[in-house]
Amino acid sequence: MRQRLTISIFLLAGLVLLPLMSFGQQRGAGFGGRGRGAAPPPSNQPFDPKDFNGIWWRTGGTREWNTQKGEEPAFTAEGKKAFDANKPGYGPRAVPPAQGNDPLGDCNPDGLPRNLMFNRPVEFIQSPNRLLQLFQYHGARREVWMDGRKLPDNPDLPRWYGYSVGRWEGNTLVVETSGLEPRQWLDNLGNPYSDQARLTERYTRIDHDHIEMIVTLTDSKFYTKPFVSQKKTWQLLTNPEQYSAQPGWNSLMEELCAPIDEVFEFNKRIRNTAGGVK
Amino acid sequence: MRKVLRAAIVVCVLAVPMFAHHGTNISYDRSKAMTVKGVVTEFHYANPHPQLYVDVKDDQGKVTNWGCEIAANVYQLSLAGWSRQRSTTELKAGTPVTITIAPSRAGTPAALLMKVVNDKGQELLSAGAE
Repeated sequence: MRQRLTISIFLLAGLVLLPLMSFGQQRGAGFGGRGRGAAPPPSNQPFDPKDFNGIWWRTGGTREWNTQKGEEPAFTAEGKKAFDANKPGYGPRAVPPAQGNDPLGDCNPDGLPRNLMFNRPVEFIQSPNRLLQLFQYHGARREVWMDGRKLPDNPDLPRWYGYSVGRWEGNTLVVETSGLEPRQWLDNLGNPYSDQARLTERYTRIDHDHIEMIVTLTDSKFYTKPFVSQKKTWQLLTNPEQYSAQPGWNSLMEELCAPIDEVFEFNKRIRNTAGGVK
Repeated sequence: MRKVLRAAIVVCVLAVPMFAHHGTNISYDRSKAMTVKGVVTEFHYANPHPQLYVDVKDDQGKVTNWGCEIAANVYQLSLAGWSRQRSTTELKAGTPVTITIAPSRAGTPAALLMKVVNDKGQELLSAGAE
């Protein structure tokens, strides 16, 4: 048993490492690629496909909506204009961050769906009427209401994490979101979304240890057709050593972006200097 | 078993910093990587970009303060065993170090920290090294 577990752990490490190495050859490559293309190791433990409680780590799929190659989706003229105005630090259009305009560079909220694209632990807390997602990255909280309420069509106040409702289609959790704050990007490549954006997330727990997720953006203002994400995989973290560096303190770490550190120290003293910007 | 698990996690975490930061390969030129000796002036264990500042004296005696971006963030350093207390102790101001850095493409004294070694030959912040 012990030997089998040891082998499994190193197999998992290998599955994570190998795809990463190939990504390192790309200019401006981001953090993504963790586990890309690697089939999740099978798990034979029993599980309830409608129970998502636990801490999950985005391990499968890139950090981008689709792939790191950055193929242009089907933009409207307005969407193309927004895309061209976004100057990312990743992918084929990468510029030095000091010369770019990624909203994350100044510690703005990740928001949805961008935080879903990130490779960090997220805690799912489920009750009959509501699913909470607690994001380690940027310390964000997101609510998915399961009580039958309707989405607001045109909410007065947009939210970085939108307004979300969920329902079950068989064993797949379908989450619809509207009212997104459109000043954030869809992903690291600078793909945009407008105030008309709607998201549909489909989560399926395929075994004890994995949830698969596909997100579809519907945004007729910026896209001529729905933009479907790459399939992403979440892995269940069961050992605190996988996510907590504080012995005896079993919880997500705090991973905030504080302007006092990032904007007024790092950006000013290193990022801007490195990018030739005063 | 605990050691095996810890080792596997560290292996995963160590792989991450190469890809962790946006614009890293655009801002810095790894082909011009250099190894120099210097003295730590500041170290910031900050998220998402820890920073190390090092005074480096050239052959003419001119001192340049290099601002170094550490590729690993606090989360990755912590899981790799580089706690805030350990890191700040090992890199307190005045510590002599040998750093391998990829300088900025802009020709300014900003760099990506690829490796930092103390005067005992021990590599520090190894989650951020390549």
